[in-house]
Amino acid sequence: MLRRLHPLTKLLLFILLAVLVFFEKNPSSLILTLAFLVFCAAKGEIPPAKLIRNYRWMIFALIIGIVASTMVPAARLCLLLIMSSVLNITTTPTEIAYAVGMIVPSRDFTMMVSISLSFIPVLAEEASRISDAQKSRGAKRTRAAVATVVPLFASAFRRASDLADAMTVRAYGTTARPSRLNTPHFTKTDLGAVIFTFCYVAAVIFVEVI
Amino acid sequence: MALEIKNLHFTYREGTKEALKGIDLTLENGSFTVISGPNGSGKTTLAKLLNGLLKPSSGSVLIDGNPVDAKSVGILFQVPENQLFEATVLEDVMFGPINFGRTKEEAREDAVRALTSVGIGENFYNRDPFRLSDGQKRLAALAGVLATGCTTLVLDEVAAGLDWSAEQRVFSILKNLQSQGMTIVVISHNPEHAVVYADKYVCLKDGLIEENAVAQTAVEDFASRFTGQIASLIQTS
Amino acid sequence: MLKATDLCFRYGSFELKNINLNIEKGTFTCICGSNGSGKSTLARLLGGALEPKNGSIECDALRGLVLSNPDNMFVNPTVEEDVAFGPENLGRTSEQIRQDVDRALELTGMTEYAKQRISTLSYGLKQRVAIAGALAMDARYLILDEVTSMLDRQGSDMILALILDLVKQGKAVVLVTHNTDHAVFADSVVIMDSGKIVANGRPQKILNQRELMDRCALRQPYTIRIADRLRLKGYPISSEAITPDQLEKEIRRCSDAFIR
Repeated sequence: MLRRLHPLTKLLLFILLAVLVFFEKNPSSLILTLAFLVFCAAKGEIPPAKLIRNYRWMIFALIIGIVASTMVPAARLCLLLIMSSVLNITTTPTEIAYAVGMIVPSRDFTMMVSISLSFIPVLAEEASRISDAQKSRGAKRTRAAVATVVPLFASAFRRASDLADAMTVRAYGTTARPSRLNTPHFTKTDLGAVIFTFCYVAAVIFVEVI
Repeated sequence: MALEIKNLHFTYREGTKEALKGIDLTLENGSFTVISGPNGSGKTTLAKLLNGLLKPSSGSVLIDGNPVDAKSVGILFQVPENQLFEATVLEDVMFGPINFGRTKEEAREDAVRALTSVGIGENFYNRDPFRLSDGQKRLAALAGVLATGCTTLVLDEVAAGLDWSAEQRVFSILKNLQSQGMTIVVISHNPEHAVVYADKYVCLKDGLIEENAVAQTAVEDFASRFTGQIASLIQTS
Repeated sequence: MLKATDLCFRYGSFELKNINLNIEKGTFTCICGSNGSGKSTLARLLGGALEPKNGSIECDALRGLVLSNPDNMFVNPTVEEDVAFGPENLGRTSEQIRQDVDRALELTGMTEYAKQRISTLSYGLKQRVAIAGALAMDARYLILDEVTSMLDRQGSDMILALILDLVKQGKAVVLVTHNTDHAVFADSVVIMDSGKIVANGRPQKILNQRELMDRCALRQPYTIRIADRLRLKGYPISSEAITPDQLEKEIRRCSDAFIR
């Protein structure tokens, strides 16, 4: 059900909840947030295993928390990670870019965001290939990392140049406000989600203030 | 004296499919082998195991009885131009030997020797590697690997993207190196390379060797693209 | 018709001089040349990514351009979203875009991959998506620059089959490549060397000229090389037979006669 929500709804609610979590000090409110997120995961048809995909970071935070006796910040970080997993899993990068584009009304900016997202895996794979090549020439870890930076930049510039040509040829920039293949629409589900979230926010504020 | 692969198995991550399911292969010193196979057959994985970039899950890859490493086996990956990064061609080729502990003067000698063997002249030494043509960049990258002093050279799709004359130049350099004693392993999806250059032709499929045969088989494989009849005609004439 | 008249272009120390070329709808033209012959620059000029310094390009319909590295051409993560990019930019409505995309995916045989992430596809399939992107804009002239250079045999064959299919449906395809094995299927072959067109005509006429090909640093197609070898052995293979099927027919004909 979460997947059918308008991406702007999800994005704005995510930002609201992320900010809210940093004001939560009372363990009860933290537990309430966890319950809310578990409910969201269920509504989003997300298998629990996928939710904890950032488990390494969470374990790290928990260990620091135990050592420094500061469990609250550790718990906040874990909740934030779960929250972003929920957003990530139920919203495609294109939808996120679309939502960002509604906040920042510049098509070029939205394009930049969405292209950057698409290129992260491409550049990561290339970095690994270049680093393999440098390691094969005897470079150990730091040296290999340094010897990867320049070629990676050069490659990124070359890609950008090719992509710019491709976009020009595909008529980018000829229309000011293009329509899209799949336009997300606001529905009653969005209203329901917003109302439900506000109830939860009220409950957290209540627990914190009392 | 050879590169011996015995019962080589390799899996990338626990629970995923085995990439190599038991490879047995011996490459004699100074031989020229072409390894072919469709995408996903494990060619690039095998290449990385040949120079120690990856370690076997089980089985062994030994050269003259010792485990392989980056010093004994050099590897040129696909689109090797991506590895060039220093300010000048000479400095980039010196990168390898310096990493292996050579002094600056020794590294310079190694680099000059490597650049000469690939036919890059002195007037290119101080050029910016990014300003070379594609063919020259590839030769500079090859020199960068040769300068490390490896005795075996593995090349992954060395002809990809090169035109006919550049491809011929690269292979004639490889044959030259072979005549000076280097063991050459070329990974290529083009069986013509096997027909013309190889002593041995190996086909990989799904992580296993399909055929382990001499170059004659490559003629059939290549010719069967047209028709079996042509193949038999060529063989009998 | 796509018409290039007295085209000139300069790029650093490199020059394209006096290019004259006519491309008719429903034809497959192969432009062959070694690296540095100017063929990629010509591809970009014909495709509209570059403006000529002198001379002109006239075209009666939209042109599409596809480059060699599929990783650098995609804007959106899934197949149908990226194919929709062109029509979106042309200001089509959502319904029209849907039709354009569906039609392009069908033409390239990619309908079942519509919702798939492009990063999970093989290079051969990626190239098909790139071609679909151009077709979705209703491009009648497709300029393909070295689209098979990063593909293996299987991938190349697939793209070639797609090209022949599109030509049958009335599109004009210009394939720029140094791989002459593709040229045997073309209706006309153009040879480039040092920024100039040095030959233009039927593939049977052009590709059989050994000296011309050598001079331009081009390998002759496998079929022609085999035919040459067989002719040396005494088989009278017709020089009109340049595709694998034609060569096979000729060989059967000759070997039947030989047996008799």
